[in-house]
Amino acid sequence: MADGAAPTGDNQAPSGPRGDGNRGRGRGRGGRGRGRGDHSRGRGRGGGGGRGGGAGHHRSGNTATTDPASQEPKKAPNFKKTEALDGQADDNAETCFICANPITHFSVAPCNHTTCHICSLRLRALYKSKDCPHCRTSSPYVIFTDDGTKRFEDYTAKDITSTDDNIGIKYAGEEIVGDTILLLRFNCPDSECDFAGLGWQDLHQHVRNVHHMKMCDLCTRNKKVFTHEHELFADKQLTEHMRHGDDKPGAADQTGFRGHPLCGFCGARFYDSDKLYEHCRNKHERCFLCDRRDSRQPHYFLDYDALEQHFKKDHFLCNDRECLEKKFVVFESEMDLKAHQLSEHGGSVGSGRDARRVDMSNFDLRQRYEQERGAPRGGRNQERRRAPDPANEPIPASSAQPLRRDEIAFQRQMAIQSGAANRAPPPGPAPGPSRPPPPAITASRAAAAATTAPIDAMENLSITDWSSLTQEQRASLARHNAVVERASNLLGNNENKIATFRQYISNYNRGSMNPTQLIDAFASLFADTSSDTALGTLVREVAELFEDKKKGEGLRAAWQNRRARTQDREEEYPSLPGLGGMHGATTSTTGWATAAAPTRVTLHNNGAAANSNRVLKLKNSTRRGSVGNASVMSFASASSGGGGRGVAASSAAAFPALPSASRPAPAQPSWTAGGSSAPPAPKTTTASHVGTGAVKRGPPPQTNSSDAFPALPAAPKPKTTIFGYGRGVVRRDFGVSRDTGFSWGGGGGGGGAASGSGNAGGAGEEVQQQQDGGQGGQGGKGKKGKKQVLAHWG
Amino acid sequence: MSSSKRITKELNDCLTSPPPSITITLPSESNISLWHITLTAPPESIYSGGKFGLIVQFPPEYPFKPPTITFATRIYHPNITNETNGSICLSLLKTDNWKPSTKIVTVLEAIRQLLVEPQPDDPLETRIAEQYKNERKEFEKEARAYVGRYAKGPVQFGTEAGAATTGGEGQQQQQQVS
Repeated sequence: MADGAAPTGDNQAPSGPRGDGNRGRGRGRGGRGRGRGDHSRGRGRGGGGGRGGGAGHHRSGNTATTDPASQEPKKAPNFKKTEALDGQADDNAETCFICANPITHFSVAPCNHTTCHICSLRLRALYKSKDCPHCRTSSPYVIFTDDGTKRFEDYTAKDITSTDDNIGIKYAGEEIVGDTILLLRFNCPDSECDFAGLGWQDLHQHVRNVHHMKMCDLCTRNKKVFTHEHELFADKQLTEHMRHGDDKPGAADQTGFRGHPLCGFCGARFYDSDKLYEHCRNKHERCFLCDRRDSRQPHYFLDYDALEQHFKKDHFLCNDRECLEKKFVVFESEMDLKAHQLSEHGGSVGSGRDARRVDMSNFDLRQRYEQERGAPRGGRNQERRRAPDPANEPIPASSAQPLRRDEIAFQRQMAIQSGAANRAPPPGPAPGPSRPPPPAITASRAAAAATTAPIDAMENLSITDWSSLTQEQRASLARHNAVVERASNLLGNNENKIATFRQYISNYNRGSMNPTQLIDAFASLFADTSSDTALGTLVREVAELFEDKKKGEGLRAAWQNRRARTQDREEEYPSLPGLGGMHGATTSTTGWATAAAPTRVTLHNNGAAANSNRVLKLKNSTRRGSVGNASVMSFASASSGGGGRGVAASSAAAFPALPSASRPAPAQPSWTAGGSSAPPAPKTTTASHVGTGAVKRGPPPQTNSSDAFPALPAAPKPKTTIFGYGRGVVRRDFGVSRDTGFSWGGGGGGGGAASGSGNAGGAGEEVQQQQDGGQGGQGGKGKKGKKQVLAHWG
Repeated sequence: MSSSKRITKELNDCLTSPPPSITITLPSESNISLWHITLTAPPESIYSGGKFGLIVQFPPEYPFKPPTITFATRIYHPNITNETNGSICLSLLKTDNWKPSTKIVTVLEAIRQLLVEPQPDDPLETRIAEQYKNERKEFEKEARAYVGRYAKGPVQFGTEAGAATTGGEGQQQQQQVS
């Protein structure tokens, strides 16, 4: 972005307070001006205690008039001691060392290294690294604070207003929570738009419908940037991006990206050469001989068949059947092949003399040789050899057919296990290879055949009854155990969680949970401990357990749906700190916790308001922005009005519609109404167990909430109309909400009431949002306000 | 990307207080993420007298991902591939060890140090490493020969060297598609 190039330029800054903010002392980013107002100025070092409402931790002593000089030294030492090499120049102590941007909030690690909160969040949430970027000390928690000088160990529980266990962040102020959480939303990359989606799908849709642009799918899946940092492409640009990259020489944000590499076999593109390499390694075959010969480039073949053809054609492949099965028994030279054949196959081929003769020959002879050896060995591959097995399995128990050895062994083992059980004692000693049909075995087999108890009775069966089970049952039980084992591994062997897991399944089995609920419940249960992939496997296995096919299918379908909606989000994108991660003082003071449940949604829809301040920030780090003063102003007034600004959510709620002045008045009433009735909604969501996971992943809440508020639809409708995809419309919408916001804000000023109303508002918003989501139209919100900040950061 | 800001800052730092025996040029004024470095071998190293071209490519994720640095000038060294690619084995640059706070100057300094003290225990060229350990004389002779052959005179940065090196494995596999 061109203007990004001149990060210092504040040509755009409409709002006085922020304009200066981002320049030198940097700290300024809008935040200061906006909310906490007064202290902002003084902090040379950015110590800024000032967070208005929340935790007044000014004690650290940077008063408004703090002399920067006195603080500088304090902090500098931290830095320099450990990081002599990397040490910062110090000329700009308030610049984040990592990204070279002015620091908005500090992130303090246990080693007392600081970065800006954005870099820290990026590392922790996107790169999943909890190491200090300066010294790589592992930092289970970092503190996000506005006080750049206070040492990590000096923070006590009462300085921390919220904690996010997932990402490992302790917040020293609710304002920061808001600023942080906002970054994790599915914000629209358009710098003019403050839309935030429920998930990737949602965002893709929004971008397509509202902006008529696309996002690169590969980038969104793999690129470790916040959503709003992705690029929007027109169709042509996207093709260009894929093929050649979109390097913009000269632009401040040019990247050197040269396009997503293509797999010539599959025609698919991959995010980067590493991913392509991974793909090729997994899906294609590489000729190690050619690689050895020419190491400059890898030599790939579509699959092993193609590779084998290549081996035959260009190298010396051992045609011995075993070797063919083993694969990759191929040699660079004929001599090597001969040597191999002599040493490996010499004996079995017959006399050494024969072997030698064969070896000296070429393909023709080798084919003969192949036949020679092949015949006695039977099948060309293992399948054939295995073939008899299935045939054996189904032997009816009643038939007098002798058991195979392994069966006998199995029976015996079972019998031994059940030892005490009153079964017939283990079959006679050492049945050996002969097929001793010990009576006992036959009996047990018969018994097994007789047993036809439904599988679901399994819970009642004790293991000692194993041998009385049919094979089918045994298999099923084994699967059952496998699932439980997998689940408990995934859950870190946490007894409670496992119990919950079982509970969910039996609920589902009984029909008291629908598949979607079950999946969501799983998602939240496993959210912290396992990957989506692992969960997918588990779900599949669970699905197979239900004797009722429909249940299994329902589950699979629900999982697919969820996958479709969340896409690969988890892999690349941090789960939003929702109920699960967040806890702490938050609840009492700010009500953030309450807000957290509907966070995703709430924020999302509030986006407008909350964003105005914050989104800018976010976006600012990368984008140019145009800014609207309006939002800023509104924010300021609002904040001043409601003394406590603590929570992002609440503030968001308070100022739902920042942007425009246009207003579709009609909608408002209904919204408000919705809002008041809404509060239960979030709870419902939570209750249904969607908890963390749900919150994080957008989609679930949607479902739940819609279920929860059947009555709402009426209200939504107006919105729909209003929202439309066009921007103008959108804005209007906002205008409306904005009005609403104001009134809420007033309430907030009242104090305790504020949070209450805020939440209610939030809930209402949520509902609305969901409605929107349901209709596929996301309201974009006009919010031009804060972008300017963005611009500065460039 | 946020990377450009950081890169710009580092470039400015390098220009204002140039690191010893290192010259930085931008092959293209418009692309700040590709640097050409001319490194004068430290006098105490066996490569003394040689000038080596290095290509630094900053990934878009910089500084969260390490820059890619390669030797454009061939060099006979246990930790640098003995080919036109000139990949460097430097723990500092490995993704696992990379620290976002590491400055490029630090890395260049480390590379310079690598010329003074090869790390034969962590080799890219095992043969050279063996030789370095067991037949130092031979090694030094060969290394000097390389310097004479490649590292004298104006430094050449292969035209597409930067691109080729960053492309990494797999990129060319299309050629094998039959």
